Amino acid sequence: MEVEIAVRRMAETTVVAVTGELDVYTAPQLDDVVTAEIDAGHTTLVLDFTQVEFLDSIGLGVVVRAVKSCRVASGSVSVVVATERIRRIFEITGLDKSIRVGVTLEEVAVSASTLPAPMLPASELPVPAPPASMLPAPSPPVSMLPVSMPAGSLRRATEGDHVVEG
Amino acid sequence: MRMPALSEHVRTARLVVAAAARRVGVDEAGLDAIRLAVDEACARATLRAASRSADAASGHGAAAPDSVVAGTSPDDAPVDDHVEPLPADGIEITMVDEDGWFVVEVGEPANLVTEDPDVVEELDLAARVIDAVAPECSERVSGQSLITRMAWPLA
Repeated sequence: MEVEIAVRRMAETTVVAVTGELDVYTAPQLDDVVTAEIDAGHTTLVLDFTQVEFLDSIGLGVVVRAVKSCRVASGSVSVVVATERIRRIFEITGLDKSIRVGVTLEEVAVSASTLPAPMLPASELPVPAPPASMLPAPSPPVSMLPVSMPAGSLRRATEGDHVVEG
Repeated sequence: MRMPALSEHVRTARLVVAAAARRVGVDEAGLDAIRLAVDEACARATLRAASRSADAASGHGAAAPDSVVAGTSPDDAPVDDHVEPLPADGIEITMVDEDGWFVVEVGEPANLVTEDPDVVEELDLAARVIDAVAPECSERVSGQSLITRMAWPLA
């Protein structure tokens, strides 16, 4: 079974939607797409895995690398999963503690200030975000997000903030 | 079942093993676990084989089978002691219904070592998944093969 990957923009967020199975054979395709997006400066990512039917540690590795790369650029990675089978992979590996995993796109787009801070070793804490860092607004519904966000309307991460975006 | 340690065959391996498990009565939850564990074990073998691709290209490895070959299943006789050793980049999967357990063994050449940190990290993650979803899991070296043994109780 092949994997299908679709990319769309929602304000400052890039949604990468995956359909099919993510394993050692198909994961490199997602890796290529995600890497290209990050290299292009799109470092606020939502990985939509609601249509993923199989996910293994190799697929998770793509997510982990995306998290690390986006973190360097003061961005974030969130994941949307629809089934317990896929969510369990994140729980088994403990990655649900360091990556925001939600059930819907709206849920992961909520401001990080409303979610408990994931626990990470100090060496894994993100570097302070530069002044230009922006987070997706908690409302309105995703389909109604404006193309451009009004200045000052988004929470700005500050030094010492323990919240991990990804 | 023997196959080259190539990523495109891993899906076939997990589907074949899951089908065999279903035939002997493993429940749906068990099938999910088996599918994942077999996938992880085979993926590890492909990663290790790929990390040695330079050695294989230089001709140090033996020729690999061209395709997946159906082999032992729970209904077949035990593996022949005189079966030829695995090729340098081959995987062998055996399935046995043993004392109320569905046992899967994934064999790969035992001399596969990689120091690539990315690959090591992926191998570690795969091992953690296998440990989590296989009630019984162990590794042993048998001859020139590294055998990952996983077992699930039958209903």
